[in-house]
Amino acid sequence: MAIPPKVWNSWPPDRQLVHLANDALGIERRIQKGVDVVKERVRYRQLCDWIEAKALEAGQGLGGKAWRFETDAKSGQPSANDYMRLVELLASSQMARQTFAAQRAKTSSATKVSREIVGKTVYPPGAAVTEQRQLFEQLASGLVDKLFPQVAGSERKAWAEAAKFKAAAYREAEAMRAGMIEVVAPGTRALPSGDPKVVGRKSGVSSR
Amino acid sequence: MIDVPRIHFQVGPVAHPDIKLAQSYLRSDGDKNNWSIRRFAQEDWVLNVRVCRTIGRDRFDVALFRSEDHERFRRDAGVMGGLVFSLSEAFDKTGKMEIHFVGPPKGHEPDVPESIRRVAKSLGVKLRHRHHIADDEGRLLYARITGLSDKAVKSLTERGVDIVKACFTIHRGLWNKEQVELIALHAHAPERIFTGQVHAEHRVQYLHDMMVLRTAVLAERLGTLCSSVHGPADQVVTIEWDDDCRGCITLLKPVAWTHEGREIKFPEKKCVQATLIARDAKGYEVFGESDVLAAGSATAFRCLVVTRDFDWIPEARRVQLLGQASKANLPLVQVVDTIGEIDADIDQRIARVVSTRQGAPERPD
Repeated sequence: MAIPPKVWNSWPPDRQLVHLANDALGIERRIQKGVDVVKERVRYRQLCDWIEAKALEAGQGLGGKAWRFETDAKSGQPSANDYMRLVELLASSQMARQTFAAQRAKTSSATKVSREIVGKTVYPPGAAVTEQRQLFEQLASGLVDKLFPQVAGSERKAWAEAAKFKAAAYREAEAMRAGMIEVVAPGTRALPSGDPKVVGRKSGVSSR
Repeated sequence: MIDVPRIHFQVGPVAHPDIKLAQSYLRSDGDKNNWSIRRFAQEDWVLNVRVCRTIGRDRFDVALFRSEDHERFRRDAGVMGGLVFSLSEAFDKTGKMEIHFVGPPKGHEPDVPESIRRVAKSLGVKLRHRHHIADDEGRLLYARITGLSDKAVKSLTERGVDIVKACFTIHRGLWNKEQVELIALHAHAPERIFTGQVHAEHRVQYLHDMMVLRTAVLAERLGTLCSSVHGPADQVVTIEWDDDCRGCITLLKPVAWTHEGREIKFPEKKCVQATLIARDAKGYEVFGESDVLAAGSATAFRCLVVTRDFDWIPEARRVQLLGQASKANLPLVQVVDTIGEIDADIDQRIARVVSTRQGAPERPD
């Protein structure tokens, strides 16, 4: 979900998303450093749950925009399973880590960013969103083939499609100067997609 | 009046000959501190007594293994119970499922007991050795006694999960059999769950795993709720999974209770299709309508199981959702836990999975 900058900086009233996002990044850093990991993980889970709930609220009339992946997507459409698999492989691939670390060092953005490449909850407006856009664009335009040559071609094609879809979302968010929040929920068929009227439009068992 | 002799022995300080025999090990001088007595009891009945010891971290001995049947339980329940606990203990203490039986002068089991051979044969496991159960035989026996479905075993094996480790989590009480089936068949990466690699900072993967685990815990809570009416000793709850958030729940006895003026009734021995969806309050507010539609699409008896967070969605929306559920003739069952409590429970179980011993790599074998 893309959260416009105005909403990002001013909502929710008690503690705004901009501060919540900083809190999340702080916890990520502490976990990476091994500081009180067990407690920090619990805090991180609770904080991200809260941020996701607020993102859903933002999608219900505050101008947030959502793009959705479904696990049982129709053929030809990007599937959440493909995205999940890609996230998993990127997280475990040493080569992917090296590639993106080198790239990050070149851009040397002043914004604090996490060591995790993809698959987080919060991407604050600015460098983090730009980085994600670049990453997914590269993946969509051949980097998947380079990183995972051992995987079957059809799978790589599906991952590239998922990356293309994500790149488009991040491109739009970047143009809006929005922050991005990734939400994983059961029953995503009812996920609001910008137009609040579509909530609950579809029926059926959850589509994760 | 005919005096029927009692042939079974209740738990407690009774003079059961096997227990007396087992206790004699504690009094014997040479191995005084090594031998331990273990009893397997169900509903106040002792079904199995055994005496065992661990030597170093390498050898697990059994000196006495006695079982008896009881009409309330299936045949050989005592042997299976004793065997499962012995294999679990051997795995825990030595990292392998090898059991040595000790004959005179120190023990009373010169060979693998006939009862164990009979059970192994009925489960399709052939025991090759006379005096001990080898590691591979023990592993196979353990998996067969646990009774995971072939589909679940295949799925776990394909994902590189040690089947013994999965069974061990069941017998250790971390997850029950139905929960392991759900994880095996529907989790995105069961290997992460069984190795405790579910970390909150890998958020998208974490949530993907958590969705299945939340369903598993919700099903357990539903089972507890159903058992609380008649008591866990008399109620039997079984679940067969249709989907990652829907299962067919069968009860041995009918249950009925009232929650906030709504009567909830489940029949006996009939499939109730339960749709189990764990969300926070905001989640129910946004997705509740689709949840009701999804649960309502189930045929025959059905219900929607939700967490306590359902109480905290805005009143107007809550009334609307309850109205929709009522219109669809869909009982809405609410468990007492919030999603936060369910998550905390899952975190604890995952942490305990990590502490579950695996085969010790430093041993020469």
